[in-house]
Amino acid sequence: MISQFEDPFSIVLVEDDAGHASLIKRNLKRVGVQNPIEHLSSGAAALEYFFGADQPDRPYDRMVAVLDLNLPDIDGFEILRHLKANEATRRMPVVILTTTDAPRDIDRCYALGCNVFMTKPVGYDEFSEAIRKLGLMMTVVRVPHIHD
Amino acid sequence: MWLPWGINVKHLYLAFFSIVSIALCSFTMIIYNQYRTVEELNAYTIRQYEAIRQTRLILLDLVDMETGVRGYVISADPKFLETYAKVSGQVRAELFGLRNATYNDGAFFAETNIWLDRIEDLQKLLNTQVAAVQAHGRGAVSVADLEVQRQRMDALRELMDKSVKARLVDLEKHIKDVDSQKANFIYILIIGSILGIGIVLAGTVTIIKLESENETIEDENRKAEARFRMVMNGINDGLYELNFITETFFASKEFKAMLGYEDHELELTPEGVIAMIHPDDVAQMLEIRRQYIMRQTPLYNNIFRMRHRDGTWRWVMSRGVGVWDKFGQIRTLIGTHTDITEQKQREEEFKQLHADMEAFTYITSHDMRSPLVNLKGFSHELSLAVDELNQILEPASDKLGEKTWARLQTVLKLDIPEALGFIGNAVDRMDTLTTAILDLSRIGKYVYREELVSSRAILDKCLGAQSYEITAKAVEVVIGDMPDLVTDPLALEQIFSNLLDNAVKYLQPDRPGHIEISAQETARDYIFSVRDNGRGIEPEDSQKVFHIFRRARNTGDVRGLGLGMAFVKATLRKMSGAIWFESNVGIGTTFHFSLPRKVPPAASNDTAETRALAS
Repeated sequence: MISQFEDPFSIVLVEDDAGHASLIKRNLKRVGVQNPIEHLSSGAAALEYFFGADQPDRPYDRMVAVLDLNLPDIDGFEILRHLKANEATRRMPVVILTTTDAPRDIDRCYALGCNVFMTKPVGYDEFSEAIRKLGLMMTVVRVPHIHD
Repeated sequence: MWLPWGINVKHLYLAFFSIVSIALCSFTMIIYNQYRTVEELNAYTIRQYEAIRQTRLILLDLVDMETGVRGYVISADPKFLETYAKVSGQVRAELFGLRNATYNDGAFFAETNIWLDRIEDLQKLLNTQVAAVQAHGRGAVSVADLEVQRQRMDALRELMDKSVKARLVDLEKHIKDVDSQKANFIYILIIGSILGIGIVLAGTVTIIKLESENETIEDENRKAEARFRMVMNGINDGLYELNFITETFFASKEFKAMLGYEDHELELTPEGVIAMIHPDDVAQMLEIRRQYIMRQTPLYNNIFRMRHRDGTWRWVMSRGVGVWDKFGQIRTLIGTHTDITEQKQREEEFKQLHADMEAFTYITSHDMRSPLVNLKGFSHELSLAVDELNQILEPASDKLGEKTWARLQTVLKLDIPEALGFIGNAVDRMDTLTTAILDLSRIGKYVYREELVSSRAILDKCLGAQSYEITAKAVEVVIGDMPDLVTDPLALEQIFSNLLDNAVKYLQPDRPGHIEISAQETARDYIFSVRDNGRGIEPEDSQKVFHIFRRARNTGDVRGLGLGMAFVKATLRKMSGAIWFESNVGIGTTFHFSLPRKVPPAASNDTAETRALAS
């Protein structure tokens, strides 16, 4: 099991499918990612969380966003665009975790500035393996320091 | 009628008219000349006759003179002298008259001089005799004297008769000449007439021929025009002529009808036409036209929207041909307008349909996958939970009693894992199917490259990928001559790979496999064949082979999705190729596929690409 990163960072998971969210959380826990996970179940909720009027100041320099693309209300592309256009959230790493593997979508996400693109595999072993790798990556990732 | 050296029918007419005129003039001249000759001959004859008449007159006078003098000498009657005196006075004048009349007859002048001398001699003699009678009375003149007088008279008469005779001979000859000249005249007339009639006839025939040819040409022109009209009316294309010199714009009835106007209701100018074009299309339309005018593009084909009278926009395809002057300046652009609104609508519908289709495959592949992640994920969670439950319950197995524990074990170890296994398999299958649909839909979007590839190299690569199976099954592979061709290497690899895979997969288990790959070249295509000695395909399954998710009935023992051949067929269709097969159950199958022959991409590829992009 991987030890918790000393300087703890939190994960924001934007995922409309409660089942997927639950599977992701379970699998992350199983590989030892103990960091707090904030689950947002819609695009609107995500936009409100990041850019809402009466939201507290958040340490975006110690946060990682995990974003699904196929959200029914506001899709992941739009959230990604907002995140990368906003000065406060611009340098927060964004991991796209979605069922899509269309090359067009992948290209579009990287063009919009996503940091990692991952496909949710249907097979359980592959899925947990992917999440395990995501967790691994999260334990080694150094989020950028926004306030230097 | 074909005429050399750029001569046209007008020139021919002119030449013919000139020939007729010259012939007519020469003919007139010849006739005139002939007339003159005959006329001269006639005048000559008249002159000769006149000369003869006068000669005879003179001779008669001389006879009168002689007779008068003789009478006087015999009778001494002065009455006889009256005649003598009268005639004697006029004979000299008559002779001079004769000489004047025959002034152009040099020899005759000398002759008349002799006559004159003789006549003078005679007159002298006669005068002497008269004087002798007057002085001495009758008998003063002797018989001898009279004899001299008679002799002289005879000599004179003989002289003059000779002259007359000579003239008559001459005349006779002349008359012959005149006759021959008259005959010539008639011949000339006849020949001339025949020639004239011939020329006129030939000319008339030529003119009639030319005219009838003209008529045929005109007739053909009319027919061509009628055909053209009919076609133009039939296809409802509008005709236009844009004149850059006069800056005018001619538009046909159909052109205007296309925009909802009667012929007289719309007067168009070059600017007026552009004003009727959709504002969004004007810039592009002018650019395409400019490129054609500057001869940067070989064909003029412009598509834009034009405002219909009812306010709608009609899609118009404008095609035309330009006429340039020798300085490369465009003079006119003549062409047609075709209403392609319907086609455009269909194109839009097609695009929409295509977009729907894409959305559908996207949804199929992604949105349908999402629940599968849950199904699979949670069945695993469930199996983990069951394991955990088992671990929790195990220490308490004694308390539950043997019977209950055995039932619990059946549920936990057999029933639940079996159910989860079925769920898992179903999800796997569902996932494979959605992936397959996605792959197939991507064939349409794949951009095919064209490069010179060695089909042998690609085939070797495919054989390498399947070498394990080929070696394991001890399959004999025979490869014929394989060409180098221009195609997409990846697509060719997929086609070969699928065909080889099938050939190896569906071999007859009870006999050694034999696979033969060959290629042959036709005028238009390359035809590749993959022959195996496998189980073969039932005739009833021949259609199913290429259908997605369908497989032949005798393939149950081999794992497969029924996807490979559908993929190959779709790929070949995109590459303008084809696939077919012949098969005998139990003997083997041969798959043939064709790929079009293409010219290797040349250096001019850049311009072609730019053009393709521009259009």
